[in-house]
Amino acid sequence: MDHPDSYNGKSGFKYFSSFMSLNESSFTIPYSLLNANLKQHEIFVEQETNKMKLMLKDINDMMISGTIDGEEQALVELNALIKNVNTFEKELHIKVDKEGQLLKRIKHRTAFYNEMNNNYLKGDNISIIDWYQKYTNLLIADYLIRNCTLEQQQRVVEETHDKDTCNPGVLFLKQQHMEDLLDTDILIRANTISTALTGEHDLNPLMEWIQHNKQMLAKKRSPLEFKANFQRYIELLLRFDLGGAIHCLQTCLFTYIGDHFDEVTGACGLLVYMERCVEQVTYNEKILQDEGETCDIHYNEHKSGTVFSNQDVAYRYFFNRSPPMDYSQSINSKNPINAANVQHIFNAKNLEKYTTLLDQNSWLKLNELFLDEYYSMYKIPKNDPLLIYISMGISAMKTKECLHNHPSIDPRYNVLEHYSTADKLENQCPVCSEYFAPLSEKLPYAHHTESKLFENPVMLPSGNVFDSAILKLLAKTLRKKGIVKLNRNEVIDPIKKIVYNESDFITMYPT
Amino acid sequence: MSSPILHIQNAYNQYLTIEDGQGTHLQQCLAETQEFKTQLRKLKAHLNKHILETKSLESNGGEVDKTVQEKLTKRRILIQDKLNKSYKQWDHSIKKHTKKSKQGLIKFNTLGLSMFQTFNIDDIYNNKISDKHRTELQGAIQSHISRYCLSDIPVQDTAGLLKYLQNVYNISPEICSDFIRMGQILFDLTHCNYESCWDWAYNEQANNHSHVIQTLRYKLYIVKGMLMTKTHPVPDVCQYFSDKIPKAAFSNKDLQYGEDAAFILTQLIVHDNISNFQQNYETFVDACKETFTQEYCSLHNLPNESPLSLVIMSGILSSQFFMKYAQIKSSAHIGWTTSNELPFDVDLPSSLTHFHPVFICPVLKEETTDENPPYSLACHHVISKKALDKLSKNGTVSFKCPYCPVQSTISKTELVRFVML
Repeated sequence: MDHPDSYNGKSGFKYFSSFMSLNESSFTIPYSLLNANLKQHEIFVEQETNKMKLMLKDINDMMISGTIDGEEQALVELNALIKNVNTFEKELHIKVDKEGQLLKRIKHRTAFYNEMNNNYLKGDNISIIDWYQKYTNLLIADYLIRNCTLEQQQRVVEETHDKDTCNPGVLFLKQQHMEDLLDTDILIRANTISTALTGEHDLNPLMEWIQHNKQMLAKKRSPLEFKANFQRYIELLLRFDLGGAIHCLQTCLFTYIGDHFDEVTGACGLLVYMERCVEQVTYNEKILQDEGETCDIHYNEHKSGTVFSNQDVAYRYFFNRSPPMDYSQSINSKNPINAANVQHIFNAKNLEKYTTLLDQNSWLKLNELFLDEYYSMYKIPKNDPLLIYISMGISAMKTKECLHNHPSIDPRYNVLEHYSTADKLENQCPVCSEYFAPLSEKLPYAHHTESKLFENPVMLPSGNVFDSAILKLLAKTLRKKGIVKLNRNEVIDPIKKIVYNESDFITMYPT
Repeated sequence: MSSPILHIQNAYNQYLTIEDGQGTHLQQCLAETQEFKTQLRKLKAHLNKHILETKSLESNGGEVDKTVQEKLTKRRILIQDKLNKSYKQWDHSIKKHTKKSKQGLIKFNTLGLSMFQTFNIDDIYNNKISDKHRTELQGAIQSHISRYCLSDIPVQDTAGLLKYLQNVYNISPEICSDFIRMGQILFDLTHCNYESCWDWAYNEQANNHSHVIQTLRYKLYIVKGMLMTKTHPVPDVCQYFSDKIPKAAFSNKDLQYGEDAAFILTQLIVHDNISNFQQNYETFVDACKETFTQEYCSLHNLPNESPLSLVIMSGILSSQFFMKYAQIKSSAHIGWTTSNELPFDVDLPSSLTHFHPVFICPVLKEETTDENPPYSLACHHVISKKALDKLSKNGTVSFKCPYCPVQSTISKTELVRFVML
């Protein structure tokens, strides 16, 4: 491969500073973890020194008595003090180790990004390309960790028999010896909570995380804690655990009534309308499934098979009591049921407020909200960086010629010397490659203000314009290898497969 | 502007350097605590001894001598003082180092992190890739892993490797089977086993790919020769270079074979061994791996670089243009109406732009397309069809070439196609 960066004049990567700002989180995360580690240490020091101060005071009091008993008691207390110091030392050891690991991350990352700049400084093209491959591996690991499913984790454990490394991204990083270049602990935690929410509908890991970060969430006025509690409430209702649901409502949700009035009142209403709402949601789902087919909906026919003969019956069904007088008077109850009216009064529209609370995507929405909060807390990109770079990379490379099935060059002519990509006849455009072509379709083209062609363009009578030197080299190689019978001064148009004389060359002047 | 990474490096070094020497303040806390614990243990021993002595004096009965009593009291006070002093010193030191540790982190932030130009990478993700393309995306990742990473996997027998790839990375045999043999040979090369690579090169040479394989075989000769220096005497190594290696190797200047052999032999003769053996050896093995990979991919018609790594390279190189655009867009509150083309020119190196020819019509300043293809004029200047229609008023009049005085008519123009070879 030829030069990867045309701006390389042995002066380092021209846009190193701006590229580094995209990788700021590589350093801010270990920094925030160092801060958290120190904060814990500070609290611990404060607690322990206060405790030890009291113990020392006791020892002093005992010794000051001057009696043998006092001294013996002081000895016992001194022993306890030593034990305390021992525990303190162990805890400190953990903190020092943690600090060491985080500092190691910073050191390795500094070296990694410096390596990129140094490769440019040295003008070492192979190392530059190697570095980009390493960075691609890093992005792949990040993608694999973030998008690992429970099923995938199980398969990895089955293969490796190692429960500690069940994420393919972590395994990949280990294999590439890049463990310190990514904050796997942070990403795995997000993945664990996320998969618990979406895969198992388990709120416990999320609730635990919320407890640890209550202050931060409150500071941001994040609705996450409310949404998580709300989801718990809905789950209790769906299991028809009314006692549990009411308890949850009283203990967890009512505290949010100021900020989430509508949702809390809706939650209260759900206690009454739950059964109908579940039916309605199932019914709506059925309608969605049948969408496209002709669907004659009768609102007086429910999934439960209940058919209301008149509105009084319907009222009794929903409210379990006789309809009020004014209700009976206002509507001619003797008339057979009017489907539209029933719908208006009892079903879809009236229940809409409640059925929206039972949205089937609520777990996904909660997961999205959690990931937003989690990633913003550590200043980690919300979107997969791999996708961001792919999107930019494809757009920057995509030409109007890409994704077209223009007549290609006969593979028999793929005989030019390898190693130099410019000599390759087979087009290896990444945008047109098998996997990128479908996702490139919707991405914008690159904007060009100057033509990017080749030296010495010559047109053959076929209308195709080639680089004359390469065309001659191709002819020479084909003749030498005996693939095509060509006389001297003859060339072949590798697309139309027509032989021409070099005298047919028309020099072109594309500006 | 100096690079933020240098600031991080300086901040990191400063964090590690404390007045009393190297290490962090937390480490210092630990050292002080260990010292304090030792002091406490010593004092405990003293106190114990003191109690035993007092007890033995008391058990002897009778009055304790006043001077002895004074001595005991003095010792007790001494132990107590020492205990208090040790604690005070430790407490002061721990708190001091904890405070300094905090100050160190603040400094790390001010000197290092604040030097970063804050930018949220999500802000440049304007053209989102739809979730429905996840399968293709995974295919690209799987193909990249198959191309570059098979030799790093612990399982290397074909069946085991296929199963491992399927289970861990969800890579199907269709995607990885072309790369399996390459990965196994690279694994062997990494683990100083050259036989598989040698055999492969030998077989391919027998299959008429002599030119291609020559380079690899010569590189393998060099690596073998280098390994011999560890186990064989100098004359044997010289013998190997002169007898075993085909003479053609020395005459081929492109291979640098003579230079490499001369380097090894000179080192051996002058120093009796090769200085920086490991480093030099790894350089030769890496060169061997690089050549093997290129030759393997070339012979099996596999891409030399994975499309994913090229796209990522393009993404990294173009990121600053996207950043600049995002900044301008947010500060100037401007938008871009054309959604199917980027609003800025991204300057990529030729290695990433040589795949397709790009012809910009000099009249309309637009890239030519299938709908608006390039046309050659009578003077062999090239313009786009739309420009041609405009200049010739849909072919009704003759017109002057925009670049030279030659007059053209539509009949003298010709549709052309630029082909990148």
